Amino acid sequence: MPPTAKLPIQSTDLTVAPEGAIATNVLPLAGQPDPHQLDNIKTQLDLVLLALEALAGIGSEAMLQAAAELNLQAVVDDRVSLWRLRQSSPLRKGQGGRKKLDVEEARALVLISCHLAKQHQELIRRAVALLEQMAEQGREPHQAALLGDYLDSFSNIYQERMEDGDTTSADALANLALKILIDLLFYSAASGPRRLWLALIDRSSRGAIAAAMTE
Amino acid sequence: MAPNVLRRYTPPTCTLEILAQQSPLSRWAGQTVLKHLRFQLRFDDPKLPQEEWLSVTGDRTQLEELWEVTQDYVQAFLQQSQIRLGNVLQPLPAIANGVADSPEAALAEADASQGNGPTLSLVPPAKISLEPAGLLTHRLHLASLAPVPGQTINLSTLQLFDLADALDQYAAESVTLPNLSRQRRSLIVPNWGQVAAMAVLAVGLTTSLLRMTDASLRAKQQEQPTSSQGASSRDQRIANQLPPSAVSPPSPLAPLAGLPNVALPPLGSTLPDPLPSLQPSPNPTTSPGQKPEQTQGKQGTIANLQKVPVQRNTPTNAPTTVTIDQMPGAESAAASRSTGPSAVARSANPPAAPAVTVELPSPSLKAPSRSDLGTAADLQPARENTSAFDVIPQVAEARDYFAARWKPPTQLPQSLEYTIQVDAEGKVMRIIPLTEASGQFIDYSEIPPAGEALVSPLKKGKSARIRLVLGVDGKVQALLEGLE
Repeated sequence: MPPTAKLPIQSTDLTVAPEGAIATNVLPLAGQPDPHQLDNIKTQLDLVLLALEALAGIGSEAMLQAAAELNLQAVVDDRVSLWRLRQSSPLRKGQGGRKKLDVEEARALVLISCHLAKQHQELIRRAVALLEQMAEQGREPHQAALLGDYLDSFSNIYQERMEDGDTTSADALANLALKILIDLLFYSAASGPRRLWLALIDRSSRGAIAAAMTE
Repeated sequence: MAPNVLRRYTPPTCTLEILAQQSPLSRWAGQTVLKHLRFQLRFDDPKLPQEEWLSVTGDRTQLEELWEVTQDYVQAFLQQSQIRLGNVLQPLPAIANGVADSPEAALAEADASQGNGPTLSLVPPAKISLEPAGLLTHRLHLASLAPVPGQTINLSTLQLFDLADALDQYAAESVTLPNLSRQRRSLIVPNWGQVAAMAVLAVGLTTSLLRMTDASLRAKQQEQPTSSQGASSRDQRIANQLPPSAVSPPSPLAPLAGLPNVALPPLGSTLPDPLPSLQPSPNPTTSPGQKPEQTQGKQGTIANLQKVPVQRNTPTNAPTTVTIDQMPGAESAAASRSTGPSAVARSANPPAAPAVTVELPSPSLKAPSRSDLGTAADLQPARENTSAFDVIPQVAEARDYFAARWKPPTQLPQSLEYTIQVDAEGKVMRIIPLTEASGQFIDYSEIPPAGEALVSPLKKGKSARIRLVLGVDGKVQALLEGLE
C-alpha cells in the first residue's frame, strides 16, 4: 500500500489551528515560565531561525509568509513585530528592540521555525547527509560547498548580530551551527514542533535551576 | 489467510510495515477486527548492499517499545544541544570525529558520555535501547528484536531521523487503526465470535471431511468393490450428512477460514496497554543512553516473535477428524495461516480440490478408513514434536534434523523456505528454494547436498517432498508436501 501512508501526522498539522489558539495540546506547558526561562527560549528560537536563514536564505518575508500560512498573523503580523520578537533574544546586540516574549509568541515562533524547516527538509537532509559523509571520510565539513556556505553564512550573521559574536571562536560557532543543522532535521518532521517545544521547555527549566543555584 | 499490510512507511533509509490479519470475526463484530498485529522494519542502509540490510520483526508491544525508546532518545539528543547552547557556545565534540572509528572507541565514548562505567559495554542491554556512538552515530540495541542475541545496529543521524519519523507516523495513525486494544469490547466479541466460528468450523469440516471420505471411499471401492466395511462406513456417512443446502460454502476452502476464530485467545489478553500518550513527559534526567523507565514491563516476549508461515493444507491422507477434537491443532493452524503470501498462493492453486487436500492421496496408498483415522488420532498426540499432519515419520525426522542445526544468520531478512525432495532411501534428490532469500542463504540452511541421506528410507512411495521453513527466530517447521 503506497504513499497514502506517508501523510504527515494529522494531529500536528497546525495549519488549521484557529487563530489565537495555538495548538496548546501539541505544545503544552505545565506552568507559566519565568522571565529567565523565556529568555532562554528566546535565545534558542532566534538561533534556530538564524540557522534557517544561513542554510536556506530564508528572510523575514518567508517567515511572515509562514506565519500567515499558520494563521499566526495575530502574533506576528509584520516585519517590525517579527524583528521585535527576534530581537528579544538576550544574545542580540543593542537593547532597543527588546521586548518581553510571552508564551503565545514563543509558541508561534516554534511553529514558524518548524514550518520553515519542513519546507526546506530536502535541503536540510542533503546538508546532514553531506556532514555524515565528510565525517566518515575524515574531512572538514566546510570542504563541502553546501556546508561551507552554511557555516560561513551562520558565522557572519552571528557575528553581525550577537553581542559575543566577536569573542566567540570560529570553531565554537561552527560546532554550534552544525549541531543546530542536525536539530533542524528533526524539527522538520511532522513531530518537529512538539520536539522543539519540549526541548525548549526542558532546557529553560534546567537553566532556571542552574541560574538559581549560581545566584 | 495472509496478513495484510495495513500501513507501510517508507522514509528513505528504512521501511516499516504494519501487518495484521483481518479476523473473520469482523463480520460479527460489526467492525474491522484485527489480530496478529505485527511489524517488519527494514533498515535500508544506502551504504550497504541490499542483501546486508537488516530486517527485524516483532509484535505490537515491541513496536511501541521501540517507538518510545526512539522518542526519548531523540528528545534527549535535542535537549543535549540546548544545554550546550544555553551555556553559550560551550564547545561541542569535534564533528569530524563524530563517527566512531572502532566499536571499542565507540563504546568507550558512549560510556564516557553516560558516566556509566565500563560494565555497560560488556553486557548488552536486555531492552531495546539507543545510545550515542559519536555525534553522528547512534547505536540501537535490538534486544528482543535481535535476530541474534545482543545484536546492535549503528544508525547514522539520517537513519535515526527516518526511523523516528516512521515510528511517529505509525504512532499517530495507530490510534486510528481498527484494533482490539479496548478490553471491554474484546471480552464480548470472542464469546459470540467463538460460538459462531465453532458452528462454521463444525459445518465446514464436516462437509470437507465428507467429501474426503467420499473420495477416498470411491478409491477404495474401486480397489475392493465388495468391501463391507466400506459400505458400512458409507451408510454411516450418509446418516450423518447434512443437506448440502444447509452448508453451501462458496468454495470448499471457505469454511476453513473460520478456523482461526477458534484459536483466538481472549482478545485483549495478548495486547499491550492502550497506546501510550502521544505526549511523553520529558524526563530531565534521561540521558541518551539510558533506558527510559516507562518502557519497563513492556518487554515483548520472544514467544510472540515471528510466526512462520506453514502450509497445513498440504496433502495428508489422515485428514481433519483429528483436529476437530484437538483444538490446539487448530490453533497452530491458525498461526500458520497468519503469514506468508505463499500460503494464499498455494491455497488458491487447486481451487476445485476439496478442503484440506491440496493433493489427494495417490492410489498407491491405502485409502484411509474411519478406523484408520481413529488410530491415527489416538497415536499422534502422544508423539512429541510430531504434527498431526505428519503422514510419514520422515517429516518429523527432518524437523528434528533442522531443529538441531538451524541457527539463523545475523542478517537474515525473512524466513527461509525450501521444498526438499527425498528419494525412497531418504536421500536428498532436489532442493528448491522458494524465495529469493532462501536461495541467497542456502548455505546457512544446513540442508545436506543432493545424494546425502537426510531421513530414514521411506516405507512407502518412491519419493517425498518436504516443505521446510526455517524461521528468523530459529523455529523450524517441516511438512509433507507430497508422496509419489
